[in-house]
Amino acid sequence: MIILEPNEKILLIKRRHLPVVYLEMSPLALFLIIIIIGMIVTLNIVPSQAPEFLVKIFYPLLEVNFKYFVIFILSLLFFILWQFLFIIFSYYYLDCWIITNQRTVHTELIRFFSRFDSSVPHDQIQDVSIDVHGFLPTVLKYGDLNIQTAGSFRKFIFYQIHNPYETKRMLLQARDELIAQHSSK
Amino acid sequence: MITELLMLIFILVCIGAAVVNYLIFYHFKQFKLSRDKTSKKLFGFLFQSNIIIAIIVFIFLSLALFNK
Repeated sequence: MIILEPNEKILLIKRRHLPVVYLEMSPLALFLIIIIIGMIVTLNIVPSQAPEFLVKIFYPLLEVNFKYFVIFILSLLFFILWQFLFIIFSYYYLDCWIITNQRTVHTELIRFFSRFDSSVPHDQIQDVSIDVHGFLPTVLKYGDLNIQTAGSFRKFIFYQIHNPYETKRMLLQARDELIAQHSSK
Repeated sequence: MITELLMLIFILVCIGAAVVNYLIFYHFKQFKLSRDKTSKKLFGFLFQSNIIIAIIVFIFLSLALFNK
């Protein structure tokens, strides 16, 4: 759980740009649509009795309504793929960068049993660079933002975030404010 | 025989979905930010949609087995 300090305010929460996630989900979504179409087609075309060649392979098919049996299998497949769709969305939602007035927090769900959380105080930031590379990132206005920090902190990378330039401006502003706050004490 | 087999497949898939739901719920709970209401809504949607889909799948299973 992310616990904020008493005087800590969240300035910005950044996640990967949503169209990129939609692109990632699109093959699965397409498959779901195909399944729905398949169910409608099955309802209208497939007979209630199983074809003979299938009965020869698996005789218990005689005991079921074949039309609804096929729809059941398709709906079960839909159910399973629906879970995968949500798993992808959960990974997207739980992988985020939180910029507060004091630090930047990165929380990432790598797998269901592997989680990564780290934070870097703003006064440790040395350099912020942006990498917008390729046709889609340029058109959809997303890219990577790299934070180079002092000390033993690992390099912070905001992957595929929307409008990295604005995020950089906000991050540097938060850093300057924190440094000014520290020097005035 | 096929009745038991299909029932077993359905129950196993439901158990798998419940495990996935629990794990997602657990991680959303871990993530919880003081002002984050979206995660609650998202999880609620996932849970409700899963129950609805499971009921629909069960209806098709019943039709396949008992509507000969």
